[in-house]
Amino acid sequence: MEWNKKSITEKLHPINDAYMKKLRSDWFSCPQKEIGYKEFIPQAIEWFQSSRVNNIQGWNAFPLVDVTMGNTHYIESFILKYGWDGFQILKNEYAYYTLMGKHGVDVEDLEPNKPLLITLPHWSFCDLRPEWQDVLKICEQRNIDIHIDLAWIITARDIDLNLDHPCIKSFAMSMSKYSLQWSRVGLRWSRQKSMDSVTIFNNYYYETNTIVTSVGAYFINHLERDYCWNTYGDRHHDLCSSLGLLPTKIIHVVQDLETKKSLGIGLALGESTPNSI
Amino acid sequence: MQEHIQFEFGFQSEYWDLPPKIDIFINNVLVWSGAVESKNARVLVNHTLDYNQEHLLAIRRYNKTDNQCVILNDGTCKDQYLIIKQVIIDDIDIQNLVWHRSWYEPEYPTAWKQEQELQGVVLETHVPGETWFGHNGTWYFQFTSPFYQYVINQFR
Repeated sequence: MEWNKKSITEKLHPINDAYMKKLRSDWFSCPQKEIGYKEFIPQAIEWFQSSRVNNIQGWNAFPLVDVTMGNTHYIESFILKYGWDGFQILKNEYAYYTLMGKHGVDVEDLEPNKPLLITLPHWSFCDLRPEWQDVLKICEQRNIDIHIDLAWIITARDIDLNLDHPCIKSFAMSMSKYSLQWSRVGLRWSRQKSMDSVTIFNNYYYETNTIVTSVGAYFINHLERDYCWNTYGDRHHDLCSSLGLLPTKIIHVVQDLETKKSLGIGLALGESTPNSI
Repeated sequence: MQEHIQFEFGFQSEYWDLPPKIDIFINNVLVWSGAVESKNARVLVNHTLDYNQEHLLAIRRYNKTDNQCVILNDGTCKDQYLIIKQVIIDDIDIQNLVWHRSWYEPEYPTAWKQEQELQGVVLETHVPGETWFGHNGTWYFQFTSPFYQYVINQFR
């Protein structure tokens, strides 16, 4: 296949191919069934857990599952509970924090007793953070609760992660990176549930915004969990070979061979698909 | 299933001789005991609760003897009392629930009680929402677990 270097982007766009676009257009043009939270949650758990390209363990330690409107909702609920100064992040985190003036610290500078919000896999390393084992060790020593934003896990492969560490209190996954930015939906898993915005959203304002769970269920029924890697895995590597780039564990991201800078191939891969699969 | 819950209490005491003392019980298990000697005392307790069960939080206030309330010649009073200023369970300040769902069972001093009864005063034995404790007695708050669900249910 011919690849054009011009289609490589600085911005890390997720794949949005013809099939995903068709799903969206079908959603709007065809009659749809309303799917509420109770019906959606078990379907979505099964879908997220059905990945064969990653090895995620420890799910059972997190029996309490809530619907979110994507991982930003998870993050915002967390921040609302702990306050802007009541949590910490590591350096090189998701731009969302930096845009609002929150800066990260090095692992050794993590403050005791202050919850840590961390993104895994990480957009720049295209993997877990290299210091992940140190993070776990230091958090255990300093009594730091860990909450994991796993937004990128659905576009990742070969990620080995055991979530059942005593410091990990919650984690969240989202379907947004499967071109569902237009109706963000995801799940939050908690070891123990406490009161916060997501809890209220799920237990008090129950069955509101069922549009997101209905769209989510529709996509689950039409997209297998490993769709992106199963469809584009070979092309990811083919593109890298053709253009002299480094393949990564994130389907829509590659790296420059010399600088290791992350580059987006989501648009290139999305455009490489025939209209029907 | 179980949940590990932090209970945080804010107390204020007033005394001139002996400080008020308290025992805190959760489901009849003594989880904290001591004197409240400050106007801004904080007590932190962690406890594990079984899901889908009723739980009883009780604070027994004691150490007020008959001689701790003294009327002075100018008509003012030297007294000992205790106030629950704040109750935070699982990071939720439950002030409204304390006012509406808790109750206090005072233990009146025998002589004073008889005096009141002779005057025809009917003393309360169950005082809803009381958090200012002049007499010895026990304050109760009943709830269920998971606690977040209990709180949500109260506001439905």
